[in-house]
Amino acid sequence: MRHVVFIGASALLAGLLSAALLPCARADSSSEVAEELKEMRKTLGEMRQSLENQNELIQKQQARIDELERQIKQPAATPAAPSGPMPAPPAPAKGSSLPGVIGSVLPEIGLLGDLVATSSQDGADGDGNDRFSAREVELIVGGYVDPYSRFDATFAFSDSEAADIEEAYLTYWNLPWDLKGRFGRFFPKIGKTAGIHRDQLSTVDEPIVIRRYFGAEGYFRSGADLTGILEGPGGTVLEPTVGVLEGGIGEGAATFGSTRRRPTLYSHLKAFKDLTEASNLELGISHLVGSSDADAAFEVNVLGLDATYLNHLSPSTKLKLQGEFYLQHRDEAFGIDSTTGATTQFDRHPWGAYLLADYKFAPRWGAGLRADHARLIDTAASRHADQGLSAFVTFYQSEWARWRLQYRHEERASSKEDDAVFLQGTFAIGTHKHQLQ
Amino acid sequence: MRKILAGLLVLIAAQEPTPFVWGAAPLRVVTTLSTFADLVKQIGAEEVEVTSVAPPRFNPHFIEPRPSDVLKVKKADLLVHAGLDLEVWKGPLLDAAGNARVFPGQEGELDLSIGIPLLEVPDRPLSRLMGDIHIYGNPHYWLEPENAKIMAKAIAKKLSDIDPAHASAYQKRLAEFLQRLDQRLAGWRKISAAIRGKETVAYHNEWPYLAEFLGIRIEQFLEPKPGIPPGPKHLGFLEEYMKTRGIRVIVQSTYFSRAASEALAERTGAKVVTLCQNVRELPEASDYFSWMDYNVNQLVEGFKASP
Repeated sequence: MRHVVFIGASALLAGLLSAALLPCARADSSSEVAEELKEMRKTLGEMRQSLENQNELIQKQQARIDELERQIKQPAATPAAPSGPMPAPPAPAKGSSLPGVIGSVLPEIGLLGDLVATSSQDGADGDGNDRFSAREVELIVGGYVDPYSRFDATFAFSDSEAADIEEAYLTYWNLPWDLKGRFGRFFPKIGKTAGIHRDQLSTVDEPIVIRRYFGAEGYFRSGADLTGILEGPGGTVLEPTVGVLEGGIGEGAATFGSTRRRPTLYSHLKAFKDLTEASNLELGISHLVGSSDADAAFEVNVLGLDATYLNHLSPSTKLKLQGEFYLQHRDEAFGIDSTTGATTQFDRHPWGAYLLADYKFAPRWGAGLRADHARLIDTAASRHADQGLSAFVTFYQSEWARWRLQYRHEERASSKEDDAVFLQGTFAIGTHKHQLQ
Repeated sequence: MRKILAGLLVLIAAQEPTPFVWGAAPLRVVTTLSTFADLVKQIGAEEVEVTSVAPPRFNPHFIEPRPSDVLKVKKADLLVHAGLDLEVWKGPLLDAAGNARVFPGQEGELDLSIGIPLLEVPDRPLSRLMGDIHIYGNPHYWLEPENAKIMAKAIAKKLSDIDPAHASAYQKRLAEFLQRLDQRLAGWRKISAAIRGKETVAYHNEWPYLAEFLGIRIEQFLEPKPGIPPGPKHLGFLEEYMKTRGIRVIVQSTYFSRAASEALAERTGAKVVTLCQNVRELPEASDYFSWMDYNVNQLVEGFKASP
């Protein structure tokens, strides 16, 4: 570019000189010639100055272009070594967020792996016992259907069980009194542990009372429920829920019969209070009524109480104290299996509870204890109650990966005692989004 | 069972979309961050009743919304948030509240990232191998005071749109805020001229906007990758890096553990400077202007103390 400018300028000067000098040679008056030459010299001087100014400007612009080209070519993560005070860094790449536009119309998809290695005295070839197990892999899909509703589904896969639909429900918001409704298959809001996914547990396994009364993977049924949220007295927040669920109960539990067409009605009231900006207390009461067999009578009532104290002691440490208590009232002292005809004697007022302390004492480390006691519904066993004590340590590898080591001692109603050690790895990829508890 | 199902269907079918009705009572505004709450208060004054969700002394990426937050959002006329992917907890909070007025794209929602010139917008495929990367660009844009102008204008416009009766008051307070901000901007630039061009190391990549405003460089972080805690190997690299380049200041926010920063500072002779990501994170940062004063002064003093 600079060469072109110089050649152009030289040609212009030559042209001007020849055009100016030729007429001079033919002039009759030497004084007129001298005057003209003087005028032309002045003009040439002005033109030379203008040309020099333009050259200077071009050189500055070229230097700026060179600098910009150097910045584009230079990788962002390899800054030049500083020697003394440096100029302000060039602005990093700026732009808009096209991925946000695309992401907003695609469903949220997440995959969660729950891998467990167990070593136990129990000789049964059960779910992951004395082996490594892909206990559960959850595929979580969800998204807004329209301005009034959202659809969420969770598919569970395991290396020891068939694939299952844990959740597939529509949430609908536009109901009277600001109620929120769910319709489909979901975890009902019962207590604190029966209604959450395994990856949300503080321990590797569910408390005994949850396993025995609601199921080894928690309690999820098809049905519908309505939830409200309102201000209560004394700065509390109240969240009442009522719902109707299909009959039956979770894996390995015996609270209700297996007939799914006999519904279970449930209700839950949560009372929450912020104690400080970092601590809070939550109390809950749950009630379920359902059938223990295939007839239409509601023979089983379950009352549940739960309490959770949470304190974020610092931005990276947290203490959770939690307890749940369940009491059943069963109208029938005997149950008859509809398929086998076998008769089972029931305890009419079985109860169970657990207490849990979970302390995240460092940004990446936590530890806790859990104590369990649950009287069995089936009274055939000799000791009449399962009880246990667990201790666990959690290592948070990152936001999406967690390891947990747990020791559990159980004294079972069947007179067996069992010591077990679990090593659990929980890993999440994609959008992992469960509803707030 | 049939009666229950029929009742539910009637309940759903009977509903019409709820129209927005803005009453004479103060607008109930919920913000995700305390900084946004302060900006809304500066513009809205007595015409708004503003609360925030994320406690300022906690990392805004990892908040566990409480039932009291759900109730706040459920009753809100306006939700102001950072947008992008900063508040990953916002979606479940909105779902729990079920307040369609403040859902994305609705009249009662304000995404403050709109119109902001974002930094570090990815220009290549992303993976979790890169750590907790932000797919839309670095979301900590509220730390650049020039962006406060864009945010304040957006807040004033939104408040005026949904509460036109007080539009003139909002616009008057906006003008006052912008005038005050311009005066303070000149002061902050003057104070920070002494540190312009200097380099520091930060714990987490949350300061690029503040760094751009102050003209300082932050190329390395204690986290080897975003969201990944520092390990011995990476701290060893940083020790060499800081010694080679003569870096004397380590920057971090209040909610990260200081242990790694202190250890690195001890090995390099650097000073750890604690800055605030948000208003009210420390008592000294009680509103927008004192918060920026605090951050600028802390950095300037930090560099002075470690020349």
